[in-house]
Order: sequence, then C-alpha cells, then structure tokens
Amino acid sequence: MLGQPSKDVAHPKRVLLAPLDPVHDVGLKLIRRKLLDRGHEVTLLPPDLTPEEIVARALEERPDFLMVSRALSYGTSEILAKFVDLCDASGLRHTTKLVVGGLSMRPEMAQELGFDAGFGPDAPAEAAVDYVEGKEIVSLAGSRPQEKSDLTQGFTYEFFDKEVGDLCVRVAQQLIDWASRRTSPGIKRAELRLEIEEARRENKTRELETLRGQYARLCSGEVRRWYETGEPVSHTRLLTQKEIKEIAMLRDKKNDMIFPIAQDILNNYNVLVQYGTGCPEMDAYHSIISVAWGARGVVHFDPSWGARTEGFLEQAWSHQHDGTVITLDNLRLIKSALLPGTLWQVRAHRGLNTPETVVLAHLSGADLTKVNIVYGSLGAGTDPERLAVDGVESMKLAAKYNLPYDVVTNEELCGVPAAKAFAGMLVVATAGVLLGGKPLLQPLFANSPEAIITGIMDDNFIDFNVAKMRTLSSIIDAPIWPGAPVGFLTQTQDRCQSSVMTALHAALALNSGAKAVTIASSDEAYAGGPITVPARIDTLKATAAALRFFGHGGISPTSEADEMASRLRDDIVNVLKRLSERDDFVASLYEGILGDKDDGAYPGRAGKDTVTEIM
Amino acid sequence: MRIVIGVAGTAKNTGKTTTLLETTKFFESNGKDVFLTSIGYDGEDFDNITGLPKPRIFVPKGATVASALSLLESSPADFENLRYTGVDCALGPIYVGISRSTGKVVLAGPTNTEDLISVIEFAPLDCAVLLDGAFSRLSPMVAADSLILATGATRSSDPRKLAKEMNAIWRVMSLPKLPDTPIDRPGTGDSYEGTNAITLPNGLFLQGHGRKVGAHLADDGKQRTVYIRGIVNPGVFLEILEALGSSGSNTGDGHMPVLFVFDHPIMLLLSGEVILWERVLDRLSQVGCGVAVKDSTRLLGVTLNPYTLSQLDNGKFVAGKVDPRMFLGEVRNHAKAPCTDIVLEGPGILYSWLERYV
Repeated sequence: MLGQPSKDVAHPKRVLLAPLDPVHDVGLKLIRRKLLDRGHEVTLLPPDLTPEEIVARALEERPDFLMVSRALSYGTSEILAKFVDLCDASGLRHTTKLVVGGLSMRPEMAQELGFDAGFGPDAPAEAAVDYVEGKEIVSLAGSRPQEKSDLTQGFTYEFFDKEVGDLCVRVAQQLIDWASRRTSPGIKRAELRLEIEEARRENKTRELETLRGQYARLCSGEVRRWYETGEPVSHTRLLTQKEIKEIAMLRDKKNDMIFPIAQDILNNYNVLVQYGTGCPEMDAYHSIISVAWGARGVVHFDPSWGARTEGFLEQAWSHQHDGTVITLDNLRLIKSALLPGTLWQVRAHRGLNTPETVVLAHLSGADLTKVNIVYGSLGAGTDPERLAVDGVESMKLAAKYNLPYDVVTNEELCGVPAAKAFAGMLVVATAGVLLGGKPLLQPLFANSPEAIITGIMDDNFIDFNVAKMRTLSSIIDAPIWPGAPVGFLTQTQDRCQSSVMTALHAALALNSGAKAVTIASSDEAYAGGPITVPARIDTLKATAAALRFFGHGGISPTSEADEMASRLRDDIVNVLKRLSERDDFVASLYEGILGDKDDGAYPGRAGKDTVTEIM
Repeated sequence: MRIVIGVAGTAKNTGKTTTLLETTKFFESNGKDVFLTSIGYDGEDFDNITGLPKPRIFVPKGATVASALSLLESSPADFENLRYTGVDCALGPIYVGISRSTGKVVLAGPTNTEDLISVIEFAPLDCAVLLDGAFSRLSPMVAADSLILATGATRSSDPRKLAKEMNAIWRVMSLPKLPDTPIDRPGTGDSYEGTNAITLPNGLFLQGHGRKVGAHLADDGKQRTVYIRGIVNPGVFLEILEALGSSGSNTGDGHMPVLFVFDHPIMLLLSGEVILWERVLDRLSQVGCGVAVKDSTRLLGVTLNPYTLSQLDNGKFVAGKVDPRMFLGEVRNHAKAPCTDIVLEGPGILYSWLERYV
C-alpha cells in the first residue's frame, strides 16, 4: 500500500508504517495521511505481519523512519523489545529511526523498549510528523491561558424580571440601611488589620505593638491565647524554613512545566477546584497540578474553626486537619507559587472573620472572594445579625478592592428549598450590586435534600439543575457559577463513579450557560482521608472528557425543566414578597422566611450579641 | 584495562537490576572504577508496565554514568564534568557525568549497538563498563566482553523448562570463534559468487529463505563456507540442514562438508525459539557440517529470580514467589551454565565470576 506524496517538502522522507497488531492500524492511517499531505513518501504495511517480515521489508526499502503501532501490555512489550533487537541486529538502525506509538505509550516506555521515540494516545498525529521533519515536537505540549478570565465581564446586573427585581431592591436596601448603623468586632479587626499591615510595612514598631494589642483584645479562644502567650492553636505548627524554601522553589520552577495537551479543552471553560490540605506547601503543589491539568482557578478552603473563632493568626502555619489557616503569610506563600493566569478565590464566606478575610484577600492579591450572609447564618453556625452586619461590610470592601465574589445557596444542602435559598441569594447579590460590587450567583448544582425528598430528581439529574439555571438567567443578567462544588450527594466513595458524576454535572452546568463551575476531586466528596493528587487529576480528566463528548451538541432536558423553572420563579416571588412585607431582612432570617427548622435551617449562635449600634 | 560487562535478561522482571547493583558493588569494593549505562530505561521507582515498585539504582561516588541529561541533572548523585556523547535517545541527549556523591540515578542510555559503542568510548580506559539490559533485549550486548544473564520464574516457573532454555543459550554462546573470517563482504542480497563461499548479508530469518540456500548448496556441492551476517532463526536455519540432509550432500557422495560462520552468537538468540538451537546444532554434527562465530561474548553465568508476576482480572499486577531453594536446586541440577540466586545465596558466586576482572 504505497501512498503518493501530494505536496513537496524541502526534504521529503521515506516512512514505513507497520502495525505490529493483528487488526488495529487507525493511528498509522491517520499519520500516513498527515505525512502524505506534507509531501513525504509513505508505505503502510498490512496488519499482522511478523516482526521478522517487517524487518525484511524495511531492509528492502531502507526507510528513514520505521513507525510501528501496538497497544501495550506485559506480553506485547516483550514483542516490541524483540522487534527492536531484530532491527538493531539487522543493521537497520544505521539508516532508520525507530518510532513506536500506541495506547499506554510514553517516552519513558519507548526508551525502555529501545525505540528512538514514542507517542501515546495524548499525542496528536502532528507530533509524529514533527518528529519526521526534525522539528521540535511542540504539538505534544498543551498550553494554559496566561491571562485570567474575568468572570463578571459583560454582565449588566439588570433585572429581566421586573417584579423580582423590584422586590430584591426593596429588601436589599433595607438590609444595607440597617447594617449602616451597626458595627462588630469583625469589622473593627478588619480595620485594624489594614493599620497593622501598614505599620509593619513602614517599620513603625511601637505603633504595630499597640495595634496588635488592640487586635488581640478583639479575638477569642485559642487565637487570643496565641497573641497573649505565643502558644499555638491546637493542631497547628509554624511552617519550617525548609517548607518555605520549597514553596519558593516551586515559584521558581513554575514556568518550566509541560502541560498535557489532552486537557487543553478546559482552557475554553472556567473550571475551578478547591484546595485546603492544611499545609500551604501541599496547597501550592495541588494548585499547580490542578491548573496544569486544566483548572482555570483554585479556591482556598480554611478550617471550620476559623469561622467560629474571632480573629486570625499571623505568620505561616501548617494545620494538621482539613482547611488551611488564613493568615497573610500563608496566603502570600500560596499566591507566590500559583501559575500565571490562575484565578484565585479566598473565601470570606460564612463566619466571624468575614470582613478581615476580604482585606487579606485584597492584600495577598486574590482575584475573587465569597460572601454568604444567608448560608452562613442558617447553615454554618454564625449569628444572623452578626453575619448580616459583617456581610454588608464585606461587600463594601470587596467593591472598594474590585474583588468579585460569589453568593452561594449551600443552605440547600441543609434541606432549605431552592426557592427560599434563591430568594436569599438574590437579595444579597442585589445588595452587593447596590454597594457597587460584582457578585456572582452560585446556585447549588447537585442532588439536594429537597430534590431527594420531593423526588423531582428521581428520573434524572438534568431537569431540576437546568431549571435552576433557566430561572436565574431569566431573572437577572448576572454571571452564574454553580457549585460549590457541583454534584453534591451524587458522588460516592468510588473514584470512578465520583469522577463521572462530577464531570457530567460540570458539563451540564457549562452547557446551560454557567460562567464557571467549581468541582471537587473524586475522593473529596466523601473523603475519609487526604485528598490525593491522582484523584484531582481523575476528576479534571473526566471533566475534560465530558466536555469533549458534549462539545456544542448540548444537553436536552425534558419538558419538565421548563415547568420546574416556572414553579421555582413563582416560589421565589412568594418568598421575596414575605421578605418585603416583613421589612426586616435579619428578622426574616431568625423567623425562618428563608429557611426554618423544618427545612433543616437553624440560626447560628457564633458571634451572638456582638453587634453594636453606631451612635 | 577497560572491560565491558552486560547484564541481560530473558524477560522483564528477572532481576537484572539486582544483579547490576551487586556487580557495581563488587567493582566498587575492589577499587575498580565503574561506568554505568542502560540500553533501555531503569532505576525508576515504579515499573512502567506493572506499576510495581522496582529496585532503585544507586551509584557510588566517582562513578561515571551515561544517561539522558535531564535524568543526570535531577539525580541527587550530583553529577559533574557533564559531556555530550553525541548520541540522543527517546528522552533527549545522552551525557556522561561523574557522580560527586553516592546517590540514586535513573538510567536511559543508548538503545542500539552502534550508539552504545560510541557511548562506551567515553568510559575511562581502566574501568568496568556495566551495561544494564532492558526487557529480554540482547542485541546491543554484542558490545560486551562478558555477559551475565538474568532469568527466573517470570520467564518460566518450571525449573526444568528454564534449565533447558539456559542450556541452549549456553551452547550457542559457547560456539567456537574464528576471528579472521572474511565475513564483511559488501552486498545487499545473497551472494553465491566465487568458488567456495556464500554470503548472506541480511541474515537468515524469513521462512523459506533456508530452503533456497540449502537447495543451492545441495545442487552446487562446491561451497564450503556460508557466511551469515546478522540474525539467524533456528527454524529457518534448519531448512538448510533439511535440504542438505535430503540431498545426501554430506554423506560421502563427493560434496564437501559446509562450515557456517555467524557474526556473533547473540545473533542466533534474537529470532525464533532458542531451545530449537539444541536440535539444530545436533543436526549440524550429524550431517558433518561445522559452525563458528566471528566474534563472541563470554557468558559468565546466570542469576535466578524466584519472583513471579501475574495479572488480575482488574488489570493490576501482583508479585508472587516460587520456593527459592527448590527452584534454584532444580535449575542447577539440570543446567550446564553456572547459576545462582543472589538474594538466597548472597553475592559470593556472582563475585567469583567477576574476580578475573580485578
């Protein structure tokens, strides 16, 4: 089977292609076409020749390159090694380069077998052409965007649904007005943190000491003890100089990376992953690896005690359990190691340190933060009054520092129906817009308890999630960033199943108009131990595969989705009306309008009675 | 004096790396410099195919190593005096360097004979050049003065079968040497010119090729020497003997006995069933023909590895083990080649094979 060259190249090569396989020669046929297009002289041998027959044919033709294909297994690797020996002993290698391709093939494997080069399933046919033409094989390497994606660009925050919009503005304005007359220790610490860092920068030692003293008096628990005695918080230790140096080494080497080209499809989307191993060095590794495998951004997770304890530590700390302690030093260390173009979210979120987190996010160079008044109040243990005051201040700070932030509906995970959660999210986001900020809507994109109890996801996981997206898109022109992460309560301990569920949810969200998604690694959803790097890669690869599968083909829900969306919108309006009638957003949180005990929502107690009125 | 010793295997996971490490230790402890390279890839933490842990390769301080530059640079052995060998492999340019401290290294060296010979030229004039094998590859080992063969239960857990294969290899590797044989005749096809010689420049490994050569020998009756360059398959070679045998050419009817001359015994071990050579060599004697090699490599002995490998239904590999003492005993009872299990018996026997080089 001799192929004729179709175009001239300066130095056409003679290439013999041989499938060392009983049947499969698809890869070689593709390479044959590409080589012919470039003007090379190509002969494709039929499948199922013996190694000896291929060598005999090669000795007759004396090609410049002999390329064989073979799927690799324990037994077949010996056949390939034998083939290399035959080529060597016959003198063929004086004139002919040996190349191998096939499933499981990697350069290390090609080297071990004795080939001059090897191409695996991730390598495009162009890589083999580049090799034949003596070019640097750049097509094997993927690329990652060097520029950060702006998740809020092009959104007007205009309400398409006037009825919903009017109700949201009314309730949000009431919340802002209420908060403007109040303050909290969290807000005071945020102000002090700025002053402390300024004093530190300007080496004002005495002033720094005074400010730290004031700060310490506003702290509680073990954090206050650390400021007063130096005794570390339980399960924490200072990072060693060695660890700090190793993070610096990561920073220095991060431009030398080769990215897997098969993951390049994720460059077209905004897929974010969560980290929070407890150790900033491990976080840096996880973040770099995740971005190398196609994540566009990473989300910092802090320990849960950080939300219930007043005040933050200083210096760089490692934490023995999940969640990486928020300090300016920790954040700056992690930030220093991030690859160019990585979106970085530091979550202010749900607890007693919300305003200060926004300050630290700003000082450490974060791109995004997170403010969750409703979820933090009803599902994460913080007193509603306190978090309302702190949340509004946080949104003001985020606007000042030009930090977009998401507003999440994770209270759905407690059992709060989507209509109540969405109403709360829309009110907080509206407040954010009124304060000059750029909020992103983060609906739960999962199998929520509401769905489990009512059975609306019994048939499929598509309709209700699409209904949520359609509802929000029809209400307001705002970016939607489902999470966080997508696929909650659909994943199991099985890594394969978990990766598939995550990938399908991510693909569904991105095909339904989401600007971004946050995914968990496959062992994170039900983690009984550390979150491993292979699990992260599994999930990112699965997500890339799902996006490749659907492409622009889209995913079609049933007609139920539109009916669900319509009902959801009406239910949201009803909740907003109740909020408007109550005319006190914080009271509404305590009284259950946005989720009551029957829903699984309980007003939190952390920070209770710490809000003071401004005289 | 520079000596070149290869460690080759009859299959993957037969203990090549363990044998190599002990060989390295021997020369280090006897004060002889070591130059180390691989004809494949070795020293990685986990096997490329099975995913099972592998023995690491540690080089002593002052050893010269030839490997892909990226692997030398990432080795904690801290290589200095790095020089490009002019040879490239699938993992990039191959450099030689001298280790400044003892440390782990991954080897990726020249994978063909010509490149291997070029790289060996970078070895100090007085040292032991140690060639690490790959899979069951043997061809580049023609560059070695001596060879240690690693085999074991992954090749066959039947000790008698294993001994049979070892005996065939031992017999082939022991063929007499005729170093002055004019075997380097140019040509691309078989040459029947001249009065008493046939040259087969491209080897003898395709079915039917032997019949053609045998028929010519039987018809002509004049050729006394057949030079075979390159690979020889025992089954195809047998075709010649069958043609000669059936024609009665060497049975006293005026035909001269034929001498077959091969490049190197390793060329007889690359194609077909190795154990068939026992039958072929017996048959050669029966029909009154001779056999010789132009060059050779001394087979010092065989190391045995009792570990087995099996693949589960889920694709994962698991290591197992036959009874090492019984396995070694049975193989030793039936094998002509000296053999040892380094882990079971210690490295003493291996060291005794190497003593002549220090």
